[in-house]
Amino acid sequence: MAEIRRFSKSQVAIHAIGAFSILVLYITGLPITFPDQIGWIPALLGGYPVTMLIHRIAAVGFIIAGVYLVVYHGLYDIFIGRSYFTDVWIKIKDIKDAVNDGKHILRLSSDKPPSYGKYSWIAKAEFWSFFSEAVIFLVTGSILWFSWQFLAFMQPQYILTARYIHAGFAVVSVCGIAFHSYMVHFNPENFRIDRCIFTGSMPEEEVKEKYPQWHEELQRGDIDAE
Amino acid sequence: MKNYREAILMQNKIRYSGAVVVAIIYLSFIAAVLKIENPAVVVFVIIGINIALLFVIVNLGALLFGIITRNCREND
Repeated sequence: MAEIRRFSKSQVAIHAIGAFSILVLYITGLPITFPDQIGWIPALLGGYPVTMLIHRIAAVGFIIAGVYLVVYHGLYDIFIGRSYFTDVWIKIKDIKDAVNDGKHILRLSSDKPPSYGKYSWIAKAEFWSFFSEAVIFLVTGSILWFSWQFLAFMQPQYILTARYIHAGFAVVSVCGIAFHSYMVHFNPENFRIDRCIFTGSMPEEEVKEKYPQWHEELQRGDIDAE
Repeated sequence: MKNYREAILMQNKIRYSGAVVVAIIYLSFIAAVLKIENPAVVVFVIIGINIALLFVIVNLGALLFGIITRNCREND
């Protein structure tokens, strides 16, 4: 069966580094917000100082993945041409797709469900929500990491606020990851694991079924697979 | 026909059990943030947040499995 390249090697690498880092960040960060419920994690890792050290190492990995994504794909978009950002940019069609999907789920419309391009509106919404959360984590995390330096020109209550925003968005982000895992891995077609993000390619039949519009564009030769 | 029915039932089991797990995680976080002090809710929050953490650990395992076996074909 013919395979179609869906993700480039750089996208696969960014997902691997970013996902590994953020999952380690959850494991080491959530016990600080919920010590009564999951305080056993720091105890298992050798105490809070060790947990915080792992948290900061994982934060560096997450920042590297984010910077690489923005710099590489941003520069590619600006100077070379169509890249990841071009594909994930939200368009009017995505809003229409979201409305039509909603109508379809609520059985308000008898039309066929929308035909998706390379990235559906759900995938784009997930990407931009993770992206905006990453920016918030970067800003608030930096304030918390270098709190003594920030205290020189920032009042203590702002640092405390940064701590609450950091923890609050961590909870929102875990809920986002739970949704992402549900949509990808609990999808009966891919259960237990969708290998596409690791191999970078997908069987043509699957592309035809799930992303008919992207398949048509590929057939017409309008775009390259990646 | 029986196999088809079994496959549909299995698909629904996967879909609904996944939805239940995600719902428990969401509800326990909401209850934790609201600091509800009812003993039953406190136990629910402890279970829910531990499930969330287990979910994250399982995801980490799945990620590592996917990375390590990325060059393996399923039929090998």
